[in-house]
Amino acid sequence: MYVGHVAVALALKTREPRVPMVPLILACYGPDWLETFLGFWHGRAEMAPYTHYLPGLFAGALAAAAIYVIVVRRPGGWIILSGWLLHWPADFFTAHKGLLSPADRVGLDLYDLPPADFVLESVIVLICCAWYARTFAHSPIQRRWVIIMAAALVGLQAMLDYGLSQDDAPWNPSLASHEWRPHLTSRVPRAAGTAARMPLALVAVTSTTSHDGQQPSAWGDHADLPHVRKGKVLHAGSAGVRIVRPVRQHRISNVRYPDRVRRGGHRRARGAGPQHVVRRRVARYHAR
Amino acid sequence: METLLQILGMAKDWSARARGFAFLLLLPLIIVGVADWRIRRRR
Repeated sequence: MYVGHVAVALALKTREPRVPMVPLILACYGPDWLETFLGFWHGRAEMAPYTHYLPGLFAGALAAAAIYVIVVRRPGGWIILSGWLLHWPADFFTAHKGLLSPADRVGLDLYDLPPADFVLESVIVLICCAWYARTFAHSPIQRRWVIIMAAALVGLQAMLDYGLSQDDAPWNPSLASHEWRPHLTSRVPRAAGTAARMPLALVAVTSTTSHDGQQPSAWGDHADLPHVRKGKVLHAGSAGVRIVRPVRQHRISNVRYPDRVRRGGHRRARGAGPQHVVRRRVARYHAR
Repeated sequence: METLLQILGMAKDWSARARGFAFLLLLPLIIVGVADWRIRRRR
């Protein structure tokens, strides 16, 4: 984000008027300034993980707030801290920013959609300029300066977006890692196409629980619990109830908390079927 | 065009890109700094 960071500074200024504007804007652009400064030696892209990813962002924000409190000796350290930290959410709209590592970069990538970026940042700037004017600009001359400031900022944004529109990179918003992770890694080969995976995804429960136990289940080996390998059938809960839900063929409800099972309730429902593993013989009782 | 890209921080050479980016960061600072100073003077 470009002039949107200024909008953040203007909004924060209305919360704490005692904070000077220049340190506040420096803090709102803090990660960019730090990246540029370090980039003179190694290139900006290489420095981005130290300035824009979350660990570096928090470290930079704490350092900036501490320097402000110690050097400037004015109230409003938390405003500097907030301005620095809000850099990341603002950049989320316009680019891809890392969370913890280069593998998990997320963002809406509006820099590759310059008209949308221009509209978004201009609207944010105009709203925050109006907010700033409502708080600080009470005379016509003051309001005129706010209008000049807003027009200049929107013009800057237009210049940047014009430059960005010369680069025809595709728009690529990302909310998660690009790496695809299959649900059934043990059964579906990666080479299978989407057409082959979708039916498997829809029938996954029925197909994997109806095996005869020779093949390992996708959720682990159930050799000691034969009842869970039976398939599911649609079953109405009781007479007069229209809700039909899939239950296993033995029609015994699942025991969610085996250690809490009492002799009544769930245990009684099992009947004379296979013994549950938690039922142990009591030596003294059976010896009688 | 290369001059504009350099100003915009998008030049091919990373050193020119860093200088352009620094200039780009300086512009809003100057605009808002001057405007805020003028507004506060008349407060």
